[in-house]
Amino acid sequence: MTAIALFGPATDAEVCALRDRLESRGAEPWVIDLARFPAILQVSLADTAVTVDSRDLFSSRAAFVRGRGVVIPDYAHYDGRRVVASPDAWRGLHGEYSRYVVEERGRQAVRASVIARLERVRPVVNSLAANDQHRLKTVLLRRLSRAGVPVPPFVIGTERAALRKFALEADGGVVDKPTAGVYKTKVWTEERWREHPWRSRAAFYQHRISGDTIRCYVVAGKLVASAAILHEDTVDSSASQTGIRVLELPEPAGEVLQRCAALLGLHFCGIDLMHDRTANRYFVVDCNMSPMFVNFSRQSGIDIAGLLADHLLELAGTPRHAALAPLAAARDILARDPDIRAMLRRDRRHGTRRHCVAVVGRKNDEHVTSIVRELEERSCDCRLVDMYNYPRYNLLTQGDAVTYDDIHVAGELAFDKAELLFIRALPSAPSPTPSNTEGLRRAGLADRAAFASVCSLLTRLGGRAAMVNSLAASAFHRLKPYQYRLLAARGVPVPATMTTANLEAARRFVEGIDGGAVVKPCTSGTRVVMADEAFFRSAARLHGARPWLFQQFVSGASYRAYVLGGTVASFAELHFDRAEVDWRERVTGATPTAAPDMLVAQIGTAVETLGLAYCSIDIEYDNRTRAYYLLDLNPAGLYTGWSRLVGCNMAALIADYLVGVMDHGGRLWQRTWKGTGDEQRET
Amino acid sequence: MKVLVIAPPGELRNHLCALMAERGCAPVALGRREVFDEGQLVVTERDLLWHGVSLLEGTDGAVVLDSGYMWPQPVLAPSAQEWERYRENLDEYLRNERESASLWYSTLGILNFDLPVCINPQSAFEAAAFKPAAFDALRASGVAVAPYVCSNDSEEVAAFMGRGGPTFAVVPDGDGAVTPLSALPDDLTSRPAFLVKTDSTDIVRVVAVDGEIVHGPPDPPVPAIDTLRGIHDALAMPLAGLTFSLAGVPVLVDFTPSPDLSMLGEGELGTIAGLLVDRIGRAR
Repeated sequence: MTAIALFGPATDAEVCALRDRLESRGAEPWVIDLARFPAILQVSLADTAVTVDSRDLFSSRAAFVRGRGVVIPDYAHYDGRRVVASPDAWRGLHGEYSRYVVEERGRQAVRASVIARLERVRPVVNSLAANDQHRLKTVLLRRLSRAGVPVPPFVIGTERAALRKFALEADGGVVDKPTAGVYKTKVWTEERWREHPWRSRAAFYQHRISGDTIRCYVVAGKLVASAAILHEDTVDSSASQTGIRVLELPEPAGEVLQRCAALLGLHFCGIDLMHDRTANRYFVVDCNMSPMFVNFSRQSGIDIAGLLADHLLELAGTPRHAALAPLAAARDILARDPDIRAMLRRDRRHGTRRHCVAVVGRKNDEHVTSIVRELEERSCDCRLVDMYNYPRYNLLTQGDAVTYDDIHVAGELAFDKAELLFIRALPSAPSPTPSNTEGLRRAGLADRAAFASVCSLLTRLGGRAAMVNSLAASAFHRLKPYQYRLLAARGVPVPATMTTANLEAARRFVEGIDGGAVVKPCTSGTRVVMADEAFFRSAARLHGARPWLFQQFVSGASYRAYVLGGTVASFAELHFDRAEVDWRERVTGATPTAAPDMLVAQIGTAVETLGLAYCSIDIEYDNRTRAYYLLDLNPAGLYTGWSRLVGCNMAALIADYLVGVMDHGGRLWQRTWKGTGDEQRET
Repeated sequence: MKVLVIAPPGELRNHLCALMAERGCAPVALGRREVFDEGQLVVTERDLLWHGVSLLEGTDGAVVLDSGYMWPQPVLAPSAQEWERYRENLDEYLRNERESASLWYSTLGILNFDLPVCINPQSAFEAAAFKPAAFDALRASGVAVAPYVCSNDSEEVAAFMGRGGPTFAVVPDGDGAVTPLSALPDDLTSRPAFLVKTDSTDIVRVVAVDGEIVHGPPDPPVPAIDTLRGIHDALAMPLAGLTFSLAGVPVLVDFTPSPDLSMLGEGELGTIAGLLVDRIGRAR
C-alpha cells in the first residue's frame, strides 16, 4: 500500500479531506502533526535513518505539507479581549516567554529538518522553500512581476514620504496589505498612513484593482478550479465572503496561473486574481502555498482534495485515476440546465443555505454511512431513513397531504426539509416460499406492506423533491427484459435476448446463436451461468415454473462504469478468472481507464432512456463482433468496494454530484421512455 | 566597486567597512534595526532604495554578517523594554515582528537574487537554522560529518550516547557553544537533543573564507581542509565558522555562516576583508 505523509494536524479539515481521498484510492495516508513534537510525537534524525514514532519516514512515497508545526505565536488570539496584567505580573512573564521562544526555535529546527530530509528522497508538495514564499510577499510579487506575470504595482517600505507619494499618485487608489498574511487588507487613507507604526513595521501598499476577486487552484501545473468570490462591500473579500460563483477563465488567464505556479515551484497552490473589468485584465494579487480548499469544494462541487490526492499518488509512482475529469464535465452539464435548480430553490422552505438530503437505505450499510459522511462534509443536513425500520413508521395518506408521524430522525421529520432524496436501497419485498417458516412468511408479508407504503410515500415526495433515482428508474433493476427492450429500441447495443419459461423455445434461441448463450435472472440475485445442457437438464425439473432470460454470450474484456448525471464518473477494466461466466465476487483487480467516445455516447443514451441519475453499468467488449455491449444497468450500484478497488472515492463523487444538483440545478434524467417512435411518451 | 555590508551598526561593522574601503571598494552598510530607526527603505517590483538610492544598481555584491531572523521563525525573544512597551497589547508586538521579519528577509532575498554575489547567501543561514537537515546534506555531499542523532526519544539518545567516544551537544537552530555531554539530557519532551560523536574531546574552531583558513590552528590536517572546501561546495557558504574534531579522521562537528569576527585580530580581519573583496571582484 502506498504511504503518503500528510504534515499537519489530524483535525485540520484539509488534512482530513485529503486523508479520506487517499484512503478511498487504496493508499495509506500517514498524518504527521509536527506541532505535537516533542511533547508527544517522537522524532529521531540520525545519519543513518529518520523515524517518526518509530516508523521509517522514508516509508512514505510522497508527502503533502499542510502545516509544519510552527507553534511560535505569530499573533495572539485575544478574541476581542486584551491581556490585563499588572506591570509586575507582566514583567514576571518576560523570562518565561523569552525562554519559550528560544526553545521553540530549536524545536522548529527539528521539525523543518524532518521535512527537509524527506524532500531529499521523496517528492514533497510543497517544499519548505516554496512554502516560505507565502510570508515573503515582497519576494514573491517581485519574482512574478519580473517574469512578466501581471501584478498590480506595489511598494513596501519604511520611508513614509515615498509611500504616501505612491498612494497619492495611484489613479484608482491603493490598498494597505500585510506583508506576511494573516491580517486583512484595508483601503488606504491618509489617516491610516499617519497612524502607521513606521518605526516598528513597514507598510505595504498596492494599486487597488476594482473588479472581481477570483480564487483559482492549480494542481500539477494545471488550472483545476476557479470561482469568483462573492462578498459584501469590503476591499478584502475574505472579510465578508458570502459564497462563490464557479466560472471558467479565458485561456490567457489560465496560462498566467500556470506560469505563476511554475515560477514559484508549486505543485499545488491557491492563487487569487483580480479581474479588472474595465481593462479586461487579470492581476495576480496573492498566492497561497497551502490553501484551504474544503469549503471551496463544498460550494463548487470540485473535488480539490481528490485531485491533490491523485497528484500525490502520481508523484509516488501510483497510476493516476481518471475519474475526475469527467466529473468536471458532469458539473458543466449540470450548470447548463436551470429548470431543476429553479424547482429546488423554490422548494427550499426553510430559507437556510444548508442543503437537506434524505438518504434512504440501511443504517449500518457502509454505502449509506459513507454517502452521509460525504454529504455532511459538504455542509448538508442528512436524514438517514432506514426503511428496514419500517415497523416504526406510521404512514397515513390524507387527501393530498402525506403525514408520517413516526418517521423522525434526530427529532426532525425525515423528509420534511429534504430537497433531494438519495435512494441507496429500498426494502426488498421477499415473497414467502414453501420452504419459509411461518415467521419468515409473516416477515415477507410485512416487508411487502412496508415496501408498498414506502413506495407510496416516495412517489408522492417525488413530486416535490428530486430523487436519485426515481422509483420508476429504480424499478428497471428488477425489470431486465424491459430494460433490454428499451435500450435496444434506442439503438444501444445489447446482446440478443430472449425471456421465456419455454425451454424448447429457449433451446432453439440458444442453438441459433453463434458462440452460445448465458442464462440470467430477470431480476437480480441469481448467478449467471452458461445455457448449456447441464442447465437445461436442471431447468427441466422446474417444469416451466419460472421464466429465464437467455442472452447471447459476449466475451472479450469486461468493464464497469459508474455514471452520474449522464456522465461517466469512473470507468475501469475488470480482471477475474474468465473460466467463470459470472464474475461477481471474483474480481481480482481493475484498471482505471478512459471510456471510448462511442461507448460514452451509448451510455449517455442508456441512462437517459432509463431515467437513471446514478447507476453502475456492466459492459462487455466482444472480441468477435468488436463491439461494446451494455449488459446490466444497476440503479443502486454498490460503490464502496469499487472505491477501494480502483482508488476512486465514489461516495465523494456522488455527494459532489448531489450537491452540484442542489447548487446549480441539472438534469436528473427523470424522463422515462416508455417506447419508441410514435409510442414515445414521457412520464 | 560597491559592496553592501549587512550587519548591525557598531565597531566591528565600521572596522570591516574601513578595511574593505582600504582595498578599493565602496562599502554601504545596512542593519536590520536601521531600516526602522531611519525609515528610509523602499522596495518596489523594480528596485530597492535606501535613503533614495538604489541598493541594486551598480552594486557588485553583498556581505551578510547578520541575517537577523531565521525564517520561518519570525519571532525573536523580546527585549525587556519591548516587553514592557507592549504590555496588554502583545498582538501589536507579534504583528510588528511578523511583518518586520517578512520585510527584512525579503530584502535579503532580493539582494541574494539580484546581486552578482552574496556572501553568505540566504541558503547558508537557512542551513544553519535547520542544522539536522544540513548535516545530512553535507554527509550526502561527501563531507566528513560527525555521527549524529537529533531526537526526543530517550532510548535513541541513550543508545547513541552509549556508543564509544565522547558526545557533544550542538545547538540545532543556529549559533551556540558545542558542549561536551556526559549524562543523558533531561526534559527531552521539551528540548530535543542534537548530539554528535567524536574520537576525542579536543575540538577546534576555525574561520575560513572560500576554503582558506583565516583563524584557527596552524597547519590543520589535509582532510580538514578538504572538509572545509566540501562545506563551501555543499552549502555555498564562502564565509564560515567551523568546529572540527581533528583526532583520527577530522570530522565536522558544527558550522555557522556568521562567525563571531569580533574575536579576530586586526590582521585576521584585514585578511577576511581582502578575501571578501577579491571574491566579489572575481564575480563582477
